[in-house]
Amino acid sequence: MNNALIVMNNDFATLKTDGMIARSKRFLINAYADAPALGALTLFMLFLMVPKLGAMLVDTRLHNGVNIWIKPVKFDVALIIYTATLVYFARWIPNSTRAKTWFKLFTAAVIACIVFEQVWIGGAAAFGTASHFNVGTPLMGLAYSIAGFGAVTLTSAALVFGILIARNKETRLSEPMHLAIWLSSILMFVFTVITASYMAAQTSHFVGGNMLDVESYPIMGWATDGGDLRVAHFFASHYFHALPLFVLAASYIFKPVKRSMVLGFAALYGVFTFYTLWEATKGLPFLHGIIG
Amino acid sequence: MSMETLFAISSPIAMLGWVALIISPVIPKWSDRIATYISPGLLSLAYMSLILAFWSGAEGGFDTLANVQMLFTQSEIAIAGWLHYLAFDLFVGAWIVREARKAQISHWFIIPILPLTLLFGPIGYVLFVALKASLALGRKSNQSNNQPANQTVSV
Repeated sequence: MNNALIVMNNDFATLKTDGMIARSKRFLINAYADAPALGALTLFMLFLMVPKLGAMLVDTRLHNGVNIWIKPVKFDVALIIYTATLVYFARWIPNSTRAKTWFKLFTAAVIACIVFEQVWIGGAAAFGTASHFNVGTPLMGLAYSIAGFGAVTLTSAALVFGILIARNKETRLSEPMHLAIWLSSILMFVFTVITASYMAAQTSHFVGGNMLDVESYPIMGWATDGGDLRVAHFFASHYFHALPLFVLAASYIFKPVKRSMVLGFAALYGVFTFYTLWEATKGLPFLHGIIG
Repeated sequence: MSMETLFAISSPIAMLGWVALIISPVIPKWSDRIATYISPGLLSLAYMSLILAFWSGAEGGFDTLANVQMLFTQSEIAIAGWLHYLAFDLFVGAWIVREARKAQISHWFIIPILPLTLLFGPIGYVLFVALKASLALGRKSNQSNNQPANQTVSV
């Protein structure tokens, strides 16, 4: 198969006859069928983002110089994108594997960790305190260590998905797309754990600068007046979006997409992610001297 | 009866209902009876008595925030408001348990939601509605999975 587009055979049958909404509905329903628990969690987090946005409107408290609810909402967006990706990727894990007890227990553990992170980060905001790097009280110190363990556990879902998809030869994906998806899922875990553990070993995600979120890039909120270790974490965690999207884009330009192109892009992306980490450790803002 | 006495006996009446809800898988029928009718009923009767006795003499109203605040400066009206909270939060808790049972949602999900409904009623309510909606889509997709792939599925 030369076609690198990710279109399931099922979708082809009604692609022409159905409207956009009907297709979107079926797409969502099929995705949920592949990962009902993670799908429910994704939707649950989406619903609970609404009252946090409401709190942002009425709360005048600041954290690092910006509204205290920005951080919980950013984590909502990040975790929703993460679990939605897992839900989408789950279709390439064999049904029989997804039906196994160990897989269901693993999914439950991942969900428990995500719920813990959400309660911890949202709760800290509600009580006007910090979540990450907060070891000020025994309780918050304990919560931070549990959160570290939880973060690795929840990220390991990408690793497990990557390995299971790699072993599945019946995905109906083109070879480059199959490679891109399983490889980037594994690399997402590896790079996220490296960048996030480095950050966790410090006392703040800022390196130099005024240690506030005020002077920052729009939307992303990364420091523009010093190093910011969150940048590398961001790129690491988007590994498994970047690589499949590269194959998708490349499939329109180069036909067919070669294995080497996938590996080449994966390597470049990895180098870039490490570059952003190095840049932050030197106390330099993201892409310093290029756009900064 | 002093307002303090009334306050002191209202909490155990409500708590009886909440305990019944927590252990509802063991005593489903009695949990429904206690948490839907007995506890909220007793609290509502006490509420009604207070309103009959004290509403006409109360200062304030529902029209402005300042007037609502003034109503609650009077202990008879404040305890009526408190009984209202206790009764209706419990009633919502009972509804949550019944709905969860109907939708076959595990009671383990409901156990953390119940104390939140007791303490911060609307938060528990929102969590349950969000949970139910989230799980419902997953259930629908399971059903649709057994249908032919090209059949249109309505949500």
